Amino acid sequence: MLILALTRAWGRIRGRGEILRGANFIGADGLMSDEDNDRRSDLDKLGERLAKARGEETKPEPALSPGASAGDGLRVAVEFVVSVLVGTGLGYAIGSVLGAPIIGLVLGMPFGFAAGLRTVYRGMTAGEKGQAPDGDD
Amino acid sequence: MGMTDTLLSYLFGLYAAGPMDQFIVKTIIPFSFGETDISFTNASFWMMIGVLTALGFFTLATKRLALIPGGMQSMGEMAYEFIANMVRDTLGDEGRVFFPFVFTLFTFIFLSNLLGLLPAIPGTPSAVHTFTPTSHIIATFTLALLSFGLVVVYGLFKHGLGFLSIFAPSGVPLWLMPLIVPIEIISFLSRPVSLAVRLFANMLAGHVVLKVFAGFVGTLLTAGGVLSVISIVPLFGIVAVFLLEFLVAFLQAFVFTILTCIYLKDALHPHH
Repeated sequence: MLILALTRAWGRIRGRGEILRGANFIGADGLMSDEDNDRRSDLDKLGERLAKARGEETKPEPALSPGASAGDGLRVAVEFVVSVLVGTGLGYAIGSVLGAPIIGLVLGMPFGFAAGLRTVYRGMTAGEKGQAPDGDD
Repeated sequence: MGMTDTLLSYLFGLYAAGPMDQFIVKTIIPFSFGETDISFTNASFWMMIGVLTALGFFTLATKRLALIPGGMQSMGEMAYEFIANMVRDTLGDEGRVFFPFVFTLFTFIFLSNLLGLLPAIPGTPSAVHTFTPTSHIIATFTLALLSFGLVVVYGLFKHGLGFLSIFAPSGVPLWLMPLIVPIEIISFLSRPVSLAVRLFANMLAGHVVLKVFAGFVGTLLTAGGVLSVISIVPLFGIVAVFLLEFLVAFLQAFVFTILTCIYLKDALHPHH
């Protein structure tokens, strides 16, 4: 799987390589020595193999692996807990400044909880819409 | 049994080290600035190795640019394209100014994570043993504050007070604002913390699991009889976890950078 992915990435870079050649990325310092027939045929063979690998790659992929879901869950859990803690801490800090830290803490915690829910909700809905996987913006 | 213990500690100098010993910050060259301890520690040492590795790698990768990229060049190009695409996809063309920052951030975190997986060289002093800077929350929090600070500074610089509109989502009735605004502020402030905690917790947990499994191997091996034979099971466990850690090293660097990109989007376009 990993090998296939790497092959694909390498193929993509080769594809881009052609664009780079069009721009002035490669100097005329004699390093463009791929006119060599051996290397050409090697490249063709590689191209064929890549095309084959890519063809195999486009076969159905499992939509969600258990590992990915666990990672998502862990991410969301961290975000939620951190939000509650930040809300509570912020409430405590503001309360301390105003002279009533405990009242601040008690008021801050539900706000943190709400912020946590909001972050989690956003993260999850962004994923559903097929946007960036970690979109808790 | 006593003899086996001695033999093991002779063979593996690290045998006596507990699972948390790998996270102890040790001073290599002591420095102090007034009252503040600014010693060169094993953390600084491994961060430096990470930076030098990145410099060396990209110097080599861009040294002999060929039409058909060689191994080094294609790896360098892969890294460049990967981050360039990420920045372009999340931030658009305007986001190009952030590319150097995001690329540096990714390279540093990825190499810190990855180099921390190297085994320590037996016989070397423990101060130069492999150390993962990103397994310390102070390191990850500094990085997180850096990207958070960039979002705030750039946002305020570009949009002035209009940047504050990220705290007031559009379409919310006015009477709800006193409730929504504090929630949005807390949500915003928890970003750097969750960035830092996620990276640090993943690196810490992975390394602890590796060491705990390694401890199982040693303990079972010295227990004798059938138990010694079973010690192969946690050994395979180490291999599996180690491979997983490679994935985690990459994935956490990726998550950190893509979240930075997503947050930077707020600085570019605060209006939802």
